[in-house]
Amino acid sequence: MSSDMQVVVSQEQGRVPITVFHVKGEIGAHNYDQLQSQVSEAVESGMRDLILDLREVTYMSSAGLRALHAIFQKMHADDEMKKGMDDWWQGRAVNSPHLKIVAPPSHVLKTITAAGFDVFLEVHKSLKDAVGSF
Amino acid sequence: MNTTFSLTITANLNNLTDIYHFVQQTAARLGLEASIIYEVQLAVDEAVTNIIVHGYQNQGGNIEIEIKQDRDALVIHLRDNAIPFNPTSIPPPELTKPLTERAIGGMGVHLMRQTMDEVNYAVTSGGGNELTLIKRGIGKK
Repeated sequence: MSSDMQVVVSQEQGRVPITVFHVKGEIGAHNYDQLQSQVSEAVESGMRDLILDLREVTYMSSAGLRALHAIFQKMHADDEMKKGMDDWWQGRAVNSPHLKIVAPPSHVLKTITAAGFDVFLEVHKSLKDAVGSF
Repeated sequence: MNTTFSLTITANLNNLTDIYHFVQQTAARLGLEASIIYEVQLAVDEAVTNIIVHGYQNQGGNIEIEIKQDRDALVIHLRDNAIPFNPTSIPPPELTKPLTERAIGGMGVHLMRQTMDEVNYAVTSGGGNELTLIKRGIGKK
C-alpha cells in the first residue's frame, strides 16, 4: 500500500450527461475522505449522475465503503433526488438510478459485496455497460 | 517454522502503510497465497484503524502486532493500551437495510469477521486490549 489514490474525472453522454470518477490505487482510512470530498463538491456543483470507475482500485478497506455510502447519501440528499429514490424503493427496483459502479478487481469487489452494497448499487463489468444503464 | 514476527508502532493513520507492508512481508515469508495475504492485510488494517480512531481517538499511543504460524493457522495478536473496547461485542450490520436508512460506517468489524476464521478479544494483565485474529487452512504458494 502506498498512500496514493488518484482520481481522474471525465464526462460521458448516455441518455443523460454522466460524470465518471476514475479511481486508481488504494482507498483506506488515510485517504477515503478525499474521494468523498471530491464527489461532494461535484454534487454541489450540480452533478446528478455518477459512475465510479473502480477497475484500477487495488485495495479497499471499510473506509472505502464509508466513502461509497457517504457518496450514495449525498447523491440522494436533496428533495427531488430523495423523492426519486423513494419511488424507486416502492418495490420496483432497489438499485440507485443515479450512482453506478464499474467493477473493481474481484478481491476488492468482495469487500463491496460483503457489505451488501451490490444490492443497492449496480455493478457493471465495463464502462460502456455502465453508461448504457442510465 | 514457529518464528514470531513483531512490530510495535505508533497508533497513527499515517502508519497504516508501514503496517500493511509488515503484514505483507511476514505473510510472504510464511509462504501464504496472495488471496490470503490480502484478507489478512484487510483484517489487520480494520483492527488497527479501530484502535487508532476509536481506542486512542487519534491521540497516539502504541500498537503491538505479533504474527506467527501455528500449524495450519495464522495467529495475529494486536495489543494496545487504549480505552477498553471489545470489537467482538459489535452486532453484525443489517445488510438488507436500504443504504438511505443505514448509518454510515461500522463495517470494519464485519470485514474482520468475513476474512478471519476467529476474532477473539481479551483484556491484558496490564488492563490493555488484546485482539486475536486467526486464519485457518493457510496454504503454501
